[in-house]
Amino acid sequence: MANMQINTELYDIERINGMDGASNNNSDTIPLSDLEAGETGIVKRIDIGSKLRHRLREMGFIPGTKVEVIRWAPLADPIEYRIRGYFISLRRDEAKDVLVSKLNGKGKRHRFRFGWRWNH
Amino acid sequence: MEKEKGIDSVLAGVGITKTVKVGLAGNPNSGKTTIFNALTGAHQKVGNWPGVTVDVMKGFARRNGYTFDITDLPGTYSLSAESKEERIARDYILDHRPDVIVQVIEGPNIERNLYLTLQLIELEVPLVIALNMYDEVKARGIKIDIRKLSELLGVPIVPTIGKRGRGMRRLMDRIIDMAENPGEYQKPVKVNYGFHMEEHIAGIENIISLTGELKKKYPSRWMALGLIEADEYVAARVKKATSMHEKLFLDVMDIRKHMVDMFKIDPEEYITEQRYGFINGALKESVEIPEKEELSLTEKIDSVITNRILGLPILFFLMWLLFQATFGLGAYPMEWIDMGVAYISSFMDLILPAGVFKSMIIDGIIGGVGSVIIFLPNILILFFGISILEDSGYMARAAFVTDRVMHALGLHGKSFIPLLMGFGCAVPAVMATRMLESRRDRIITMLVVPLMSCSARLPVYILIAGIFFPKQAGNIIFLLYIIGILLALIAARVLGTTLFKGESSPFVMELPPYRVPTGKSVVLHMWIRARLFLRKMGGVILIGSVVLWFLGAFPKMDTIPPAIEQQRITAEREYNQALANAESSEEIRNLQSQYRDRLQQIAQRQNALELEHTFIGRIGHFIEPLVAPLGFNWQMGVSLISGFVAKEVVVSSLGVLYAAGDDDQSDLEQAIIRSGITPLAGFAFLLFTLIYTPCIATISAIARESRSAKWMLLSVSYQTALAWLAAFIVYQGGRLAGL
Repeated sequence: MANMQINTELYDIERINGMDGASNNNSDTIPLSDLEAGETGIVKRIDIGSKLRHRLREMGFIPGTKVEVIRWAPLADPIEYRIRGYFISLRRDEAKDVLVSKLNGKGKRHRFRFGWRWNH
Repeated sequence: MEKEKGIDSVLAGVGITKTVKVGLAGNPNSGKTTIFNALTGAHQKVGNWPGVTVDVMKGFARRNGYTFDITDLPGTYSLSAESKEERIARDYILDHRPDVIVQVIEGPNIERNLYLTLQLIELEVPLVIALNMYDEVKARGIKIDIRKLSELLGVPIVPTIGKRGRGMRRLMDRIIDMAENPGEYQKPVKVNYGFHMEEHIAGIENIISLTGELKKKYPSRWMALGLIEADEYVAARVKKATSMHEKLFLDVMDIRKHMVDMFKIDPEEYITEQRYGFINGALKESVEIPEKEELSLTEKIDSVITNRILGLPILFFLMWLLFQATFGLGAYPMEWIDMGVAYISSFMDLILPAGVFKSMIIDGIIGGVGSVIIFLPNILILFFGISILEDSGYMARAAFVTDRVMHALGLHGKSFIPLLMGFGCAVPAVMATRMLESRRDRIITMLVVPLMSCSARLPVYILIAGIFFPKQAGNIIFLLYIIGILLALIAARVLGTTLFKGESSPFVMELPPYRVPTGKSVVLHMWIRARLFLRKMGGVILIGSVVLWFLGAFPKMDTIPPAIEQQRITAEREYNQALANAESSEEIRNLQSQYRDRLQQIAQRQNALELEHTFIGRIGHFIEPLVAPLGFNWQMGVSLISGFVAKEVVVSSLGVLYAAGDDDQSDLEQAIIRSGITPLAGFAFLLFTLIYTPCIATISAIARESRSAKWMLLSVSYQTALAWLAAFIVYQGGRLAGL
């Protein structure tokens, strides 16, 4: 376990090259954290700067995946999402690195929700 | 030789039984632990909380002449070695080479669970899938074509219902099949990563096959993918296994660069995408998920439980309920235990001959242990509640609801659970910090957990608050809990900004579906806690009581102190003189009673002198200058020292100390009141008890969990210093204010 940091610099080249070009069609992408409860987005990409890139991808945040905002926590952070049939919560700060395109039309489940929505 | 082997291996030698090494893998909340319990009958906690089974548990099972040696791996979403759990799971598979890996899959959440499956398949381990919670799958109307899915994945799949033990025999049969003949039961299935990527993989595999030693050690495709994914742990293993790693790494770097430059593809992202693509493809052919119009039960519950307005009130209500149940309901069985202990004590008094041994049994053991065992009902009820909260899935919601606050304090929402458990006992709470992924969060949480007032401190509160604030005892105790929480939050903030500057760990947390906790698992959980407590009774507290009794009983004085003797003589002389002058029979009776009181006072003084002569008296006097500014007498000082053993001992040692300094019929409360302690000092004492290090067990748990004596010492010293300071400020400040 001691020689763990070896060679990682070998891989870091890509970081310098700038991976952001990988998906540059960011015309109408917005941070996932900007969606409101009941809204749905399609994952476009995860920001290169996100420390959680790997983890989020493995949890299913793959480009093209539908993410639905279920609710904000009582203190507006973290936020609960539904993705691939399960529920996950992310901090606002973490969700902002997931870039999505907003889907039109709100989910039907909306009418069941108690309480208010923010920013209205 | 033969003798050294266990009976199983002897039988195995003659072909009667065979041991199969099985590793149990799966996502958190997949019901992996229930399967483990169902297979082994082992007694272990089930938590509906991501990562609760960080401890690698082992168990055994038997079937058809086979012995299963089962290791319950930590719950993980992946095998990327990003977290401690993932590393443990992966290292186990790579280094311990189990005969079969059983992956437990949460049936209703099959899609994400299959991601781990693909990684296991790429590791080329013999794999059997337990498709768990199959009853839920059916209830939700999800149709899984198991045969088809099994074909697509190339591995056997057994539907199971862990909590009812269904499917275990079939699962074991498949494990036996797989262990006996993996080639026949597992078909090699590969995720196709597309033409270019496959070419690159093949290229790397080529180089790997040139280095014979590497190829033998790990599956080459797995290594190739790991290297392309820039997985540091794969790289480290490769480097360790072969001298040709430099060439390999250079090639891999080229490939990565090529992919980035030519195809604008991030290799890691690409690989993950392809895996999910494969999963989607497989599910499309084998699983039918009904179009849902209705909200699931979990969603309905959550729309209330984690609701913006109701979320926090519900949390507080549940915590309040837990408290009321623990301490209100618990009062009844406590009374019975109290009566039982008194009965045993008087029974022993009858049958044992007078002497040192009797004194040790009654004053030392029964007195000490008896005053602690009384809290068993509290502990049972508290952990009953906590395990319901855990198993039902509410704990994750509690973290969701509280993370905003916890995060502001530099902690993680998950820290809420160890902190909450701290109200029960700091030892499991410190152990629960394992569920936190970052070391920073773990250490900070375990350093502040002891400030949450544990149930062992309650007896001290009840006794002291009951004496000095009989009308306000409840409020005073509540105040102490609040002070503890506030101090914990302040300490967390201070530790976070001084010793641990930097970001706190990510939050990413699954909110598992609500599930009805099974009675079995709740009772099991409760029993584990009770056993812990009882073991503490039998061990630390029993020894502590006897040691304390010894320290308080020895050394004995050889002679009666001359001053006391002199006082007796004087009293007798004065009494006789007065008696001679007495005129009425009423006056004589008065004189007699005065004389009796006076003798009693002298006897008390003698007892006090004798106690001061003992070891404990000497220790008490030695530290007296330290505790005097807090308004404590030496007895209180001693009891606080003995409280390092365990907080309950504070009460039992006060009992021993005051019983020795008093005549036996009066009870501890009276004795303390008579000793002239002010309510202000009483409150300072309560504060001190709240803040200073809870007990040896907690200290050792912190040492074990932090793997460092440094944090343990910091924990002990900062808490004791803080306790002294708080008590000092309250006592001296209160005196200045004229209290």
